Amino acid sequence: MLLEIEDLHISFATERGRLYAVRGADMVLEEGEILGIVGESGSGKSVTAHSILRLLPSNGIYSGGDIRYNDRSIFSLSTQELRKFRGGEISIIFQEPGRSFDPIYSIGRTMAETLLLHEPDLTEDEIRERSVALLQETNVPHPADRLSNFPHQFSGGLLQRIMIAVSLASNPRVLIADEPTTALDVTIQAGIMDLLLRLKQERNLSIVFITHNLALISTIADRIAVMYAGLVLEQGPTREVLDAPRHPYTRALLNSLLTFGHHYTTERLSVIPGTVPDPYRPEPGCPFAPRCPLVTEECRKAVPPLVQEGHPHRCILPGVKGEDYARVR
Amino acid sequence: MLAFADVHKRFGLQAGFFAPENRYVYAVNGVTLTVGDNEIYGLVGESGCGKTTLARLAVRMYETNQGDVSFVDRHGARYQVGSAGKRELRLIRSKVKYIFQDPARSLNPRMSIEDVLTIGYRYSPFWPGKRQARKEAEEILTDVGLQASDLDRRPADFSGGQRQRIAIARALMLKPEVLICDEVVSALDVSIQGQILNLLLRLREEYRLSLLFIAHDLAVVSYICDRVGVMYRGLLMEEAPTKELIANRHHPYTRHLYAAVPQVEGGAHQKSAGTFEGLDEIDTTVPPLSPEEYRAHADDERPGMDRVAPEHFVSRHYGREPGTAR
Repeated sequence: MLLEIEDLHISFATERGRLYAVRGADMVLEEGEILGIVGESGSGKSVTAHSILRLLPSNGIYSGGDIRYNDRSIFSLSTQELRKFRGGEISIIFQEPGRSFDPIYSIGRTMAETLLLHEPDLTEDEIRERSVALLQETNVPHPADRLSNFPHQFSGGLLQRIMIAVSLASNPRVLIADEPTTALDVTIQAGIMDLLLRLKQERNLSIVFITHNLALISTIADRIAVMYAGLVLEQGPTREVLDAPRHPYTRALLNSLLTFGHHYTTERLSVIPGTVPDPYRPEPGCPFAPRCPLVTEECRKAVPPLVQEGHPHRCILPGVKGEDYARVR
Repeated sequence: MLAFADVHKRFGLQAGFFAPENRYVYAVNGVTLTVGDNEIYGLVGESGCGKTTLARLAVRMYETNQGDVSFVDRHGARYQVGSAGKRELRLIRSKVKYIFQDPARSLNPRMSIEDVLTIGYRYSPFWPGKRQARKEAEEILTDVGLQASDLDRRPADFSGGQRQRIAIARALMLKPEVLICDEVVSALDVSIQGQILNLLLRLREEYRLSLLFIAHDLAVVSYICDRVGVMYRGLLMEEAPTKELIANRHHPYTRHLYAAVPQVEGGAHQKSAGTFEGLDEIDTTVPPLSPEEYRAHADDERPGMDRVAPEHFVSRHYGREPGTAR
């Protein structure tokens, strides 16, 4: 087990009161696998991922649980160790590559900075050589000529490739990708997905891929964690989660997913009624209870515990709920 | 209802100390299409392909450089959008309503929902008085799935999906005949997206609307639209009834675009299928077609396109050899 998140709780102190962003996240990342975290906006998926690198804003509060990397709690790292840990062990890339670069530095300088941070003894020639090799690895055309270019001279897709190259400069074992393709066109997105998959194979890189797009993640993830209202409701091997979802929310999400070829004249899309719960005032029971077609009185009483039957999930109803849900509908 | 006839639009680039004058970004480069009565016409394409610019020309947010947009209302009256006078334009804009992508930014946060819904109405030729307007606003608000009492609240009190419902309600206030939906669901979560799509389908029936539906998400477009036009570099590459496009895609660009859509079924990641020759470096400051190529289109019913089936048109440009069917 490379990375383990156990019953993580995170809240934020805001002007409107306390915002409960993560209310119980359990996750495991094995060496060399791609873990997909899927959830709607506000489900806590990004906060969970950022907290792995302790990148929470100053009003963020870790109110419970633990994150362990190689069996060591990341909360026990000293400031020095943390600096090495960020990048050296785990790197992160963000949604909008354009905003992740400093616009007044050339790409070459940004890369040199990262390389030097982790290996201060590199000579100028070595830096150049390494930068070109990294850009080549991420399929940036004519890398040697483009080192002197500035971020605004690249398209979004190329910038994301460069971002990945920068994040690999420190030879991390884990890459956290926070919606890396959401701002990109589908054709460009497909290229980035190819690249990530190749990096996983060639470098044995473990990847945490965060997205709201279940269809996208199903094409590359080995395992999927489904988040809703700060809770991981279900987690398991991709095929298992998609074919036999254990939680009614996952089933509802799958049902409401538009697949290509689905036309309104053939069948109206089934939708999940209602909206996501208010993160400022979480209700006691299962967060999906108000929208769940299988809801019972019991569901509204307490946050459902983690059930290990099949793959880990949080639903107190017995049996394979996904199937039941399909029948109810 | 809404017809674009060989529409062109270019934007002037700022001339600077080193930059020569008269440089343009060519956004829309000769598009001919018609949105029929009670039809949902979908425009898809990647960012920068000109789909939003084209839609904005329909309500004259920009002036066209060449070609024109015409609008025929339910009673058969015909309006030329490009040459309409002030009063006529106001009438057109009350019949053709535009809904924006981001409901958080298109609603004034300081207005009550009642103001949001009625302020445009007040300046239209049909203002019925405050009391009547409020009554109509209440009806429309319940029609889009909100409550009449929500009229006194403010946009900040609503979630993204609800705000988009308000934006739709605002567009419906003037009893429009055409709605232009510019990426109306792309900022929303999947579970909410479906609600809005089904709402639009229902409203289309109830209000007898025609929709020009713009989106980059192919699954969404192929779900809700009756006909789809695929845009690339400001030109239509292919146009067909949705069901035909689902079954049969002729142009290499269309195929390329559709191959990139991730699917839940299919299991393992599919290597992105093939490359498309025109894709690499697009220089938008050069018109995509030469004047000779344009002249060659002069007599075409659909400029630069071949008819491959009764309602199915395919562009002759960007890599399609004539007569190649899939």
